[in-house]
Amino acid sequence: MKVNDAISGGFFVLFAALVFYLTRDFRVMPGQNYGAAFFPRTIAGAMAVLGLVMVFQGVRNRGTEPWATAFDWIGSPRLVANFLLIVGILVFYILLSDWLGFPIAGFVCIFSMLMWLRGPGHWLGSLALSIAVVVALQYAFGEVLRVPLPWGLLQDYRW
Amino acid sequence: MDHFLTALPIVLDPYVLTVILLSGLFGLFMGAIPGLSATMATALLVPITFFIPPVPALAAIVTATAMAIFAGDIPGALLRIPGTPASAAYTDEAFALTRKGKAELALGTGLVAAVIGGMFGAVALTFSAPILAKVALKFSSYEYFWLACLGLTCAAFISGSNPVKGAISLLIGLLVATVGLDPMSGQARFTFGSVELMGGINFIPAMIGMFALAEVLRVVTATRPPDAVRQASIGNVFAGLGAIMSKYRMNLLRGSVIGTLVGALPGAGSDIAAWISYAVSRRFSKEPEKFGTGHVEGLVDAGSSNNAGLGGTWVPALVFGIPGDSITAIVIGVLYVKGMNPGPTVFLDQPELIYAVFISFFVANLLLLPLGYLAIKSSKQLLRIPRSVLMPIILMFCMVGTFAINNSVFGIVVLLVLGLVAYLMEENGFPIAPAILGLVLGPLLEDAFMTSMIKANGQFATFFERPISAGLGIVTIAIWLSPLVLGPVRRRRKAAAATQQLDPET
Repeated sequence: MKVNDAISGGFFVLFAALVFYLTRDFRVMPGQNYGAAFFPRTIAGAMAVLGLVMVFQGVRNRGTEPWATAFDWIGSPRLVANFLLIVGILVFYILLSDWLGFPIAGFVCIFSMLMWLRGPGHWLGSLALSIAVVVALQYAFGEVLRVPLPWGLLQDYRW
Repeated sequence: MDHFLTALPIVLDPYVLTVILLSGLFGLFMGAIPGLSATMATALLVPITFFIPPVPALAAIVTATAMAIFAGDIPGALLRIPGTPASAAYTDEAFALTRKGKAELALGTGLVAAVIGGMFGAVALTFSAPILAKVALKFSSYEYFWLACLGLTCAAFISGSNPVKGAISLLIGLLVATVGLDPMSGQARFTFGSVELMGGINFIPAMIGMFALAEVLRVVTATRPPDAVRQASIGNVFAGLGAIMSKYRMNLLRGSVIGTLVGALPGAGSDIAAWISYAVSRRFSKEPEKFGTGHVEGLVDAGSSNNAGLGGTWVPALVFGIPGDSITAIVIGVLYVKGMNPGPTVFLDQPELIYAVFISFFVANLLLLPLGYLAIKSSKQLLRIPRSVLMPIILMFCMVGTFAINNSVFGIVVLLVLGLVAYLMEENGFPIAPAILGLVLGPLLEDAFMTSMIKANGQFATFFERPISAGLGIVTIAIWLSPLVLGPVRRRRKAAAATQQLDPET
């Protein structure tokens, strides 16, 4: 989604105000003028000023720049689904990888992406590739680099 | 020289050489696929470098980026899509050669120019960095504060068409860097009670999200299908290159010098170096009318320049800890993780490691010749790999790589959130690189400021009491104020030009 600079500028002004609000009861070190709030507030101040500049620029260019345009892929249900798929895959992995374990959760992730993006006609290739990628990642990260990738449901069958 | 000799066996170790070879192949692959850039190659390498010793880790990044920046020429010449932003300056020129059926000439010139430029950049880095480090040893927290400000300012101003948006992107990065426990007071900032957020936002998941996830999202929502390769077969890559290189030897030198200098400027990297060199080449050419029609002269200049720029960007990164571009911003993060705090003292404490990095620049650029040749020869197969296969694999790698940093899915949450933020930012014309610089340099900036303030008892004027510090401070503030002065002047000139066009009589 592309919005006019006036709108994004306004957003940053409000965001800066929120930062000020959140820093209201930050501690000040005794004997110092500058505490934990100083740095975030300086950044927020600068952000508010630049946000105002953007508001001015956006209002000046309002003739040539529309207030908001949707993503150019929004008209294609297939591309919308692609976008949601990627986000959904990440959410799925965040929520369930611990319980399912990497081999299962990882396989579900990559196999569903390949099936959706390449089409069901390539199912055999996608299946083989998914297994290869999961085994390779499990070996490279789990064994060689010693990252404790979760085994989850397969805890009793780990190698 | 002594350090050079002690460092040589460190790099020529079989393990390190294997890492260099593998990361070289990886870099060529990433650079040759349009949309996967040198920065993304570095981002995906970081989780692995996390687990290997410092020298192979840094050598891997050096090699992968050098290869990726050359490999960006391949789809540029064959498909008219630059594989990395660094090739964008001369994509049309190279594609014009392909249209004449001379793709091998375009790619061969690009390869040899890249190797020579890369070597030049490596020599410049090896000789200038230790000298500059001696100067930098005299710097205190005051100078570092201003240097960090200057680097961040340049990054915000250079990296996009709209400096205001660049600056806001930078502020977003700086703000994200303040999340977590404040090191000075122990105050928890913006953690909202989350234990995970107390540790702060690790820059690796943030960066993988902002570069890799955002790109995956862009590719899967692309409304235009990718193009097919035009030229059927690639002939002898090196035919006639000797004559071209000797004819344009001054262009090689000029491109390499410009590339190194532009690369060393904080905020400007290889892509800007290539644009400038291409423009300079055209401006001073004896045959400027041939530019754009498939003329190799500009390719020699710009092709050597972007690879030379790579060496240049490491100068401020290693000497001051101020990154020249988004790749060195990642490198600085890696250096901190490896306990090699970038800055002049690393030249005193661990000179053999620094010299090993220099040597890996030479090794990488020498290796570029055979590997680059292979990549050109297999380019048709490389470009035929469908995105629908690559993107799921890249996403899996991002997830596992992010998890590996802290062994927690919280990293993947950061990856997702910042990936979406970066996607929205780019849609609206906000560059991403300044945000990454802000994220990496934010803690340094705050630390330098707070340390200085404690030393100075809160007197801000102390920042201008030391001569170098005062000079840096004045330059920085002048750049900050320059839009206020230059903006109205430029607008008046534009208005004057507009009235002149309307009324040609006057």
